[in-house]
Amino acid sequence: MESINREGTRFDNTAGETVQIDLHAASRNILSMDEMRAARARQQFSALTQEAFRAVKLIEIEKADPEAPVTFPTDPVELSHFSGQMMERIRTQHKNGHLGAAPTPIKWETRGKAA
Amino acid sequence: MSGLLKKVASLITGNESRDDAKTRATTALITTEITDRDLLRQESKIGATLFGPVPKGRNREFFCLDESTWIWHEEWRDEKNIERQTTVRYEIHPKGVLKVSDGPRYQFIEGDELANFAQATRLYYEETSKKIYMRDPHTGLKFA
Repeated sequence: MESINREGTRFDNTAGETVQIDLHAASRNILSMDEMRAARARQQFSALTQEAFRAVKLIEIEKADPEAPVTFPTDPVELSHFSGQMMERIRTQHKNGHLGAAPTPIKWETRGKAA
Repeated sequence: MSGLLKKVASLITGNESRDDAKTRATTALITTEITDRDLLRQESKIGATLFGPVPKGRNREFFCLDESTWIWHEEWRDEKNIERQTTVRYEIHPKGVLKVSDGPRYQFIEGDELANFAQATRLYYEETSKKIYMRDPHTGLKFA
């Protein structure tokens, strides 16, 4: 049976053990109202910041017009690379839910010129 | 082999014991989780058909590993019933498409081989986009 003594510093728990509570130590762990408000404000600010970052990222993705028709390069090396980029893009979309803008084909001029 | 070693080996080689595969399939069914490897497997099935029908008794895989690497893998049994396999890695470099075959042998592909490879990568994207990701490959719009 639980019982608390008059000073509120000792009680017998259900197992019948007597437990001493250090009220001073316990009180040190309790946040004051100001501290609680500050902690809550910090949490809210952090959530808002994350939300803002997400919103900016979404705007960037939307601005890039993910539905613009894709133009495939004609050069075979550029086309191979572009197809790979498109695969990465669609896989990312599949995982994250946002398609993102189509990659810009890289113009590689070095090939064939050295020969 | 310990469980952990077995798992690492199966992740590296892609080989799973029957029990592992069964457990994985059951888990996937329960959680309907689609892993990257599942997607690659599905893509690879489409990729294998891009170069014409796969001869009977052969197992072919062709897939995009990342934006600049494509893998061709083929397994078959020869006339002496010995298991054979070959893996070719195509790396996209500014200078061209480097073909890395068993050996290893390195060679930049040219002419028809290069043109066919490039068309295969485009077809791969178009087909997987339509059949796996359910999107129009040209606009990115999701099919209704």
